[in-house]
Amino acid sequence: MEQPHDYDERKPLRVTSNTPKLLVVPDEILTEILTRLPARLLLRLRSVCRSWRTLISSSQFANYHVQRSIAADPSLSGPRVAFHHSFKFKCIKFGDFSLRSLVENPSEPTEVVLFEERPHCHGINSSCNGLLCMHGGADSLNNSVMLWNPYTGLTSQSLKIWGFIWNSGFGYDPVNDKYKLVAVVKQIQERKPQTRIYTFCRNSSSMRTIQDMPGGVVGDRKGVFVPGTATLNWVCQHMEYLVISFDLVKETFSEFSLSLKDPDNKTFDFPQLCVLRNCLAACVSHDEKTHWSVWLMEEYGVPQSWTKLASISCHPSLSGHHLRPLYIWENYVLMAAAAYSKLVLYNLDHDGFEFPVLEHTPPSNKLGLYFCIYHESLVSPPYRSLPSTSSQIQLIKP
Amino acid sequence: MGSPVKKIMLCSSEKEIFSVEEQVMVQHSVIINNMIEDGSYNHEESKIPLDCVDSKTLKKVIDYCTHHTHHHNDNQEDLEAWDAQFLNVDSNGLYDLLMAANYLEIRNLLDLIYGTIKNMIKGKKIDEIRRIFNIKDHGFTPEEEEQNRKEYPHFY
Repeated sequence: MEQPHDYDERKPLRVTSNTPKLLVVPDEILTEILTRLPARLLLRLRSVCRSWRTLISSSQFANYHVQRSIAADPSLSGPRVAFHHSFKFKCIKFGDFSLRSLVENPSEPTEVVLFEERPHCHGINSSCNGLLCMHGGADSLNNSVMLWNPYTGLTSQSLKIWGFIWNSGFGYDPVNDKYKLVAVVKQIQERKPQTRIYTFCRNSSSMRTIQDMPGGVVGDRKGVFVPGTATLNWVCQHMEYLVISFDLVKETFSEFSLSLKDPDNKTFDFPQLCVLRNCLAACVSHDEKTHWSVWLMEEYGVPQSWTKLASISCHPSLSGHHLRPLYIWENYVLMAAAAYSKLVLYNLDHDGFEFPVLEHTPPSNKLGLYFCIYHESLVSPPYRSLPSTSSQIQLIKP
Repeated sequence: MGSPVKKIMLCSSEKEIFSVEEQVMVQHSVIINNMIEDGSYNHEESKIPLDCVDSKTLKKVIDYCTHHTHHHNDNQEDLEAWDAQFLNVDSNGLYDLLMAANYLEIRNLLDLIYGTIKNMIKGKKIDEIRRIFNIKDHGFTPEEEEQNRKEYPHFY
């Protein structure tokens, strides 16, 4: 490398004066710097110069950025919460809000961005790498899924399901760079449901039937994607509670025990899986949903590594509800959804509850709210990504 | 214990020799750690040639590694204050340090510099960013540049 010795004060980041096109900071270093910035700013930084645009627009960059945002620094991507409100299986409201504003100011109604959608109505299935997997269509003929990045507004084309979805899960296979939806699908004319895998990759999509998912799945039937493991996870109940794990790379199921060694509570019920601190986590209820405990599986797939994170005592307005943890904010606020009707913030340090209010959502005693955490990311939905305005299914951020 | 502190020799691009405690460099530089581990460094006669690191920069890198070896038990605030003072250099100096840390694979120094440059970008207008990275030719056609300007008017 050239090493001139003039230290000219006026010249920023030194590059030799005779270099014509000055991107002397190599791409790998630039990537390291830029992936530390939030997606919001990166979109603008595409206008700095053509080579920055090429770098920031590449799928490798987007993947690296979202991994970094999820793993290291939540402030990068500003986790957001997408929700839908459904009534009689129809999604009637659909929007999102910033997790930060909810947690930092829970007593004020949190500002919500509502999405409009024409002509069909989609609900949120789950999210992964900043993409929401949307599921829509009221009858089995029109049932479809598509991927949507609410932040960039890009959608994938929609993929027909050909049946009703029972259990499902959505995640990313990093080895093959594919997004996959695993679903147990029942067709009207067939007695036995089939387990299928719907794959979204850059230019194509596919569906194939795979080995049956083990039966007995309990809870909300949505598989939990654990970053860094490329697995989807459900709970099932046989003699005891088990975790069904689906390997998105090998496309096979396996099981391990949900054995929580809790000296304070001999038994538990209504386990609900989730992801906290990028680990598989479980929230279980004790004594007929009068109190709960939250557990982290510190080492994925090793049942001995289940560690109790918190005990949540009873609160009159939560009694009898099941809790689905969504996120831990700065190590002390646990945000959870209670019984499809409201959000709860639980302070782990001093055992306090708050019940934040959202704009534009129904009074919290009504059922039908579903919440899902996603990260602002630059990842483009694979399978012929289209801007939302030109997509067959339009999702318009007002 | 009691044995003399092992030293290694580093040679800058100006062929100036720096003698440094081996432990200091091994702890911080992946490259030097590998050289010592695989036996390619001979303590009797080897010098590690760092042809792309000048003396001024190498001295700073050694300062950084030495401080972080001997003061790693200091409280976080003191270390951060020291780091801030350490990186109080002009952008040429910062660029040289970045390239040296990258070459020697000194991860914590790299993280520190990446973070500093990241903060330099935040809140800046596009012209300032182009100046920081010395980008003279953005490579856009006038139409594209106009389109960018329309998209993010406050960025210009």
